[in-house]
Amino acid sequence: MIILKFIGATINKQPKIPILFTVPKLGINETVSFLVDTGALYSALSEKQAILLGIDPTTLPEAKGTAIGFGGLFKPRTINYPVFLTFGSGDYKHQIPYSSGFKVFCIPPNTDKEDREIILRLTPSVMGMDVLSKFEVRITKKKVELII
Amino acid sequence: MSKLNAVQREIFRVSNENLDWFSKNYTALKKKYDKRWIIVKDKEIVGQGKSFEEIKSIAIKYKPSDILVEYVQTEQVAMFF
Repeated sequence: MIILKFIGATINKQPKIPILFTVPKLGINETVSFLVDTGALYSALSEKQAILLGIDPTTLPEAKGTAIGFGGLFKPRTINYPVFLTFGSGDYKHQIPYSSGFKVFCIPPNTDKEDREIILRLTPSVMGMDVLSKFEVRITKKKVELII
Repeated sequence: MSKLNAVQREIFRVSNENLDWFSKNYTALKKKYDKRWIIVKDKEIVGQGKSFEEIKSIAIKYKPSDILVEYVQTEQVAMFF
């Protein structure tokens, strides 16, 4: 049995790991640094990251419910196409598919410009327990390891 | 489990290099670029800006996997997710 160890860095006390984020329908195949967040139920892209990937969050359909996070309430939207999260370790990869519904945390439209800027600065893309529960998670002062 | 193809291997190599360099130089970077957005590429800063709109206009010139876009500041902010 091969054990794979996917490694990221702990930066400013935040464990982050690069993941290949692929949305074939949108032609997206780029790495995203996700915050390893064992307190989050679900994984989601931040609005900042969505924009940098070329996704206009306002064009995405709204998800059911509200997400509570930094800064208060976020209005989640969803990417209603298949999404693949690929972890890389040396020559090997481990891929987690989402058939549909990967979430994007969007800043409420009525947020003023100054608050919007602050939220964009501080809100990361998060890897939640929907993904992390598949791994053994080790976080140290300098690095994060996801082991499968 | 399967193997990464050559393109994927290169994407991960670049991303890990950017993240490692940012991590190792974080203390110096936050002092030098305090309260600014920065773009890391090939072990250097290739762009900076005071607002997300400003940094976005620079970031779109690059392939997203080739860069790391971060906001840095010396002041610690307590974040609860």
